[in-house]
Amino acid sequence: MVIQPTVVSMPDTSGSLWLQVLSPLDEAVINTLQVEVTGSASAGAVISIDEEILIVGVDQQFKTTISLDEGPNLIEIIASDENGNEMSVLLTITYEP
Amino acid sequence: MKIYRVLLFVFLGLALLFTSTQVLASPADLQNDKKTPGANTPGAQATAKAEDKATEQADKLKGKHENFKGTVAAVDSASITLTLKDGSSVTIGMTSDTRIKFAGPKDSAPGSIETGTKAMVQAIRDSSGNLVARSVMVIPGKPSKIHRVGIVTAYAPGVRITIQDKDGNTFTFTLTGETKLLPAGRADQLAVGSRVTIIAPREPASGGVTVKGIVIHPAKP
Repeated sequence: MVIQPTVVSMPDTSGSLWLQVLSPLDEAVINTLQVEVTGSASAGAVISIDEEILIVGVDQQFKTTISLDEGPNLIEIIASDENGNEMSVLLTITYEP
Repeated sequence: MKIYRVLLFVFLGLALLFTSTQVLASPADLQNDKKTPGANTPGAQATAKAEDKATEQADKLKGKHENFKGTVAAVDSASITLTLKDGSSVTIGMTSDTRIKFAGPKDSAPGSIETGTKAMVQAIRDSSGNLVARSVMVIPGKPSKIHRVGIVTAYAPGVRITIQDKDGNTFTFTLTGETKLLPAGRADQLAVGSRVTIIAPREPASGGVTVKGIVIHPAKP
C-alpha cells in the first residue's frame, strides 16, 4: 500500500530545512484516544509536536504518539534548523470514541 | 317440602359458583385476553426486536456527529457560520454546552471567536434536524509555539535564559523544573556560549514566556 503524505512542506528558501507529515491525515476522524504522528524532515531538525520535542536523526524519520481530547483537536508540528529557519503544519483531528 | 329445600340449595350453590368465577377473573387476565394472539411466538418476538433496533438506530442517527472545517464568516452567542472549502456556508447553533477551544496557553487565549479565523466544528442534529455545535476548535493563523535559535548570553538554571539570535536580537525566557533539556547527553553542556533552539509559546502568558524545551546543538569546530 502506498501511503500518501498528508502535507508536504516544500524546502525552505535556504534549502536546508524540509518537513513532510505522513500521518495522520488532516481532518481525520479517529476512534482511539491516542494517535501516532509520523513524518520525515531534514537530519538534525528540531521538531515539536504539541508537548513532545524530537531531534531528527540521520534516517530523517520522526514518530511520536499524541493523546487526544474528545471532539476536534489541533496538532501543531513545527520544524526548525540551526540557522533559525522554521516551518509548520497544523492538523485538525477529531476524536470520536 | 323436602324437594323445595333441595332445589333451593342447588340454586344457591349455582349462584355462588357463578359469582366466584367473575370475581377471581383478575384485570391482568382480562388484559392478557386483549393481547394479539400468538404474541409470544418466535416470529412475534423477532418483530418486536426489529422494532426496538430500528428505534435505537433512529436515535443514533439523530446523535451522529457532523464535522465542518472552514473560515468563520459570522459568529454570535447563538450561532456560528462557516464558509467551507467549496465556497458553501453552513450555520450551526451554539448553546451554553458548546465547548470552545483555543490553541496555546489558556491565559493567552483570545476571549472570543473572531471572524476571518479558521475553525473546526463538531455538531449534532437536534430533534428538529438543526445543527448544534458540541465543540468549536479555533485554528490559529500561526502555531502557538515558536522555535528560537541563538547563542546563550545569560543562563540561570531553573530560573531564566537569554539568547541572542543571528540578527542580534536578544530574548529572555523563564525556566521551570519541567523545562526539557535535549539531547539528555548534552544537558550538562548548557552554558553561556552554547548554541540552542528554544521551544516556547509564541504569545507570552501572564508570567512571561515559559520555555517548554531547550535543544543544545553541538559546538561548531
